[in-house]
Amino acid sequence: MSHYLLPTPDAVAEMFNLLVGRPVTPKKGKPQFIRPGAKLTVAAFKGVDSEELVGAAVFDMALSVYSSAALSMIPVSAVSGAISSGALPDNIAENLGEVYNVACQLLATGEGEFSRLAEHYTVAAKVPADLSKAIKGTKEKIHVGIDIQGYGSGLASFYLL
Amino acid sequence: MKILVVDDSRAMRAIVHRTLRQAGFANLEVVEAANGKEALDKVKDSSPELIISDWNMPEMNGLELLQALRGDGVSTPFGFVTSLGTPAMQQEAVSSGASFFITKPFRPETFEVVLGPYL
Repeated sequence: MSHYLLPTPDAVAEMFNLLVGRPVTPKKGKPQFIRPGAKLTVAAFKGVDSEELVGAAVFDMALSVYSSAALSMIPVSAVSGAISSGALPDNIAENLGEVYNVACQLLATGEGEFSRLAEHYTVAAKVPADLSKAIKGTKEKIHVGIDIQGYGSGLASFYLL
Repeated sequence: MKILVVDDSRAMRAIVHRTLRQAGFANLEVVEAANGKEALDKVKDSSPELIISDWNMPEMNGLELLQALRGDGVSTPFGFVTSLGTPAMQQEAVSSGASFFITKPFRPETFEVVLGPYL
């Protein structure tokens, strides 16, 4: 298997910038922990032509909601309740799938082999145990803070599995 | 000029529309479809002059749409805007009759350069 590379904080910020069409600034990140009740979302990425898991991403609820709302220019006031409740409205959940679908480009090999979105989870309790374990066990990871102008800041973590 | 934008994500269809405007293509009539099957009907009903399509979609994917159109003798310029852009996919797209291949996320400048010859 080709070795996948982690994105830089600037590459993560640029991806969000291009996706939502507004200024995005990278900030210092921090680890997030997948456990039942945790307010975060998780994506699993596989190789383009394989069924092998190659990476994962974890967004806190703030980044999940802000990025998904910004994608459709939904006012922040209409979605802020979802951050505290951890329950995503249907339109936000649909947009989050597109955010993760595009984020798969951040995990690629040096030879330009991309990953693809295999699955994403909007409730921490539904993340498969083997995926949680793989995320917890890997040493290849990057934590980034992302500030989306006009919306707010959240956390993103990317992992190679 | 009429353009058909095909993507199963409503948000992404809106983003393509927004990026077209940002790229300077302001006077366009944009028709939308959520999958290849719906797009085939829209092509018959609306006769678009350019088709911009996602690759992975339910019902009928973008490549199947392109192949169906070319099989029906429809030669409307067709290009992909997709999150997966491997060299093998790009080759398959071109050999099936695609005119361009843009990967998400994209810049208005990319639209301006790539779509300019068609708009």
